[in-house]
Amino acid sequence: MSPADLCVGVVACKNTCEVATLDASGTPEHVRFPVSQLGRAALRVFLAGQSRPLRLAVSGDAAMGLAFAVGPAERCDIYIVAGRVADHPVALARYAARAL
Amino acid sequence: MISIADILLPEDILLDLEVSGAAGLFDEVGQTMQRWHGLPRVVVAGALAQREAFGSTALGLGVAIPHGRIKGLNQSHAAYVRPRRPMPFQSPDGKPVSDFIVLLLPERATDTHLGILASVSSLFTDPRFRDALHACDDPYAIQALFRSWLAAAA
Repeated sequence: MSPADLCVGVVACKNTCEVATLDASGTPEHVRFPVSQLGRAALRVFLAGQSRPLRLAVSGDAAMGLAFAVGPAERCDIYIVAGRVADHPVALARYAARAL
Repeated sequence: MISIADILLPEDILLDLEVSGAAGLFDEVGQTMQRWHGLPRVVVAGALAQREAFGSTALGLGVAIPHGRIKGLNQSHAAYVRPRRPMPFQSPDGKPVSDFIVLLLPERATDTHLGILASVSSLFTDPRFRDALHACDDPYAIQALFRSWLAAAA
């Protein structure tokens, strides 16, 4: 991870969507978005508005759909991660930080 | 983590605003932020317009969350704006926007930003909150509404 990158971990399941961020400046915290039209849109707005390169790691039953729905195309690497590899948003953000 | 209930003040709640477009709305927010918080009007409006140029911050269901990062800002600020008439704002569902939650953030406030987006999207997902909000026409009552619903959700 470059110090300028923002790494995001998302656990996307049928009833939950938990998100954590990790950058060079701080300790990761995670928050829960509603599984709704507004929740998906708010996450998309957050990701699309980043001016720095993004690394997004997504896990969970709804990972693929969420990655397609929210993943901005430019300057964003997206990883679909098996739950047995990382199943917590902070662990996923760390996975994204380590990924080549 | 800072919540919108911590930073939304009655003086930053603008109701029945007579504006016809994003530029006018951002300028009104800039004027408010200059008057109450000493933030330069032009800087505020410019930061909001710059973010909007990346893509619309409308979420759907008549809600948008315009936000901008401001260099040198020490703390986050929020405004709630209800235009007199819902405004087209390139919403994903095509609906005009009646509720604007405007955020001004320090350059490095990723967690605050994420937390506020999550809490606002949770609140507005609930139609009972939207109905209660639209029934309020007093800034103090609106501030109290945000606080009570967020406290109940915690």
